[in-house]
Amino acid sequence: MDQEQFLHHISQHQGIIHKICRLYRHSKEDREDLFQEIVFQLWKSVPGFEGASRFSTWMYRVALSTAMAGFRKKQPDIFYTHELPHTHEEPEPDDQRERLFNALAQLNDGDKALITLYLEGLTYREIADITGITQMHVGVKLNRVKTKIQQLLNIK
Amino acid sequence: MEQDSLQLLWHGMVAPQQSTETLKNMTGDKAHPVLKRIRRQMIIESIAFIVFMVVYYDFFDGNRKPRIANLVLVTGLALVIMHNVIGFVLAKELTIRHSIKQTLEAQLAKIKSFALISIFTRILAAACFLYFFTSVSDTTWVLAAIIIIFILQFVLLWTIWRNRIRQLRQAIDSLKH
Repeated sequence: MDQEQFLHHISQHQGIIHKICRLYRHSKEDREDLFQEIVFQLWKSVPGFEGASRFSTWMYRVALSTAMAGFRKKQPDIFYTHELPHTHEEPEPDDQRERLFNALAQLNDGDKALITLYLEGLTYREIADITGITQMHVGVKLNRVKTKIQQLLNIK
Repeated sequence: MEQDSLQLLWHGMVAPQQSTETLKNMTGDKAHPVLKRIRRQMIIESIAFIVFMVVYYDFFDGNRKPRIANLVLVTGLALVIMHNVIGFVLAKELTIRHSIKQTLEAQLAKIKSFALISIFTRILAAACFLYFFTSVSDTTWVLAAIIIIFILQFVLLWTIWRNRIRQLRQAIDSLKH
């Protein structure tokens, strides 16, 4: 794959990189740094992409690995409540997205990776392949994560 | 909000779009944020050591010390600079394996090895400095300063590596459990 093809693919899929940055880093500056780091690692890892899997599948693997392996400065302690603030009015889609991201941000690194891949619409088999854990373990963990998010978002 | 609507929300998120030119710039070493910081630190430290090497002969009576002491001191300085270069290379390389778990495990093994090398080179460099300054023993205050500086460096290095290793272990464990 030459640089032009690579940039075309990245341009098409950059939304997922932004989402990963938002999940794994707290400040705007750290997110921008991580975005650059992911693009850099993807480009460096291109020779290892054999085309056996889809570009997006390979990209998830590199992007999530980079986000999880990167050294992060210790964040100030944040104390989360068991539920996000509940409003009686029907939230706007942007509010709902914000609530979803706030809920996802409370998960640990591994759970963030699993739920990202799940929300992207990958099968358990694909998730197992990317993360390196068994399909059964993916199922068990995802059920746990989904229940946790339901609780945080007040879904009955 | 139902479970499927989570996916709808996720896909509906509008992300900022970077231009192809910006993305292209990100593929080069120069734009890499971590590498930029390490490179800057490496240049500052290297300049500081080179300046030290230029002036030590007069300031610390290098001409009055045995040739072997001078050689050992230069070796110590070279070790510190080499250590910086290894750190730069390590930060640049994340070897992507078949899965995230394998990649993180490989990175952990690499970080552990480098942590050992890092601490070992600093101790060795400290030993070289001490050898140089004790070769003609009339500089007690310099000796005390070197010992304090290296102890502080050692504690700082130890803390940095311990945190990095702990963070990677936690990331791996979060996939396992």
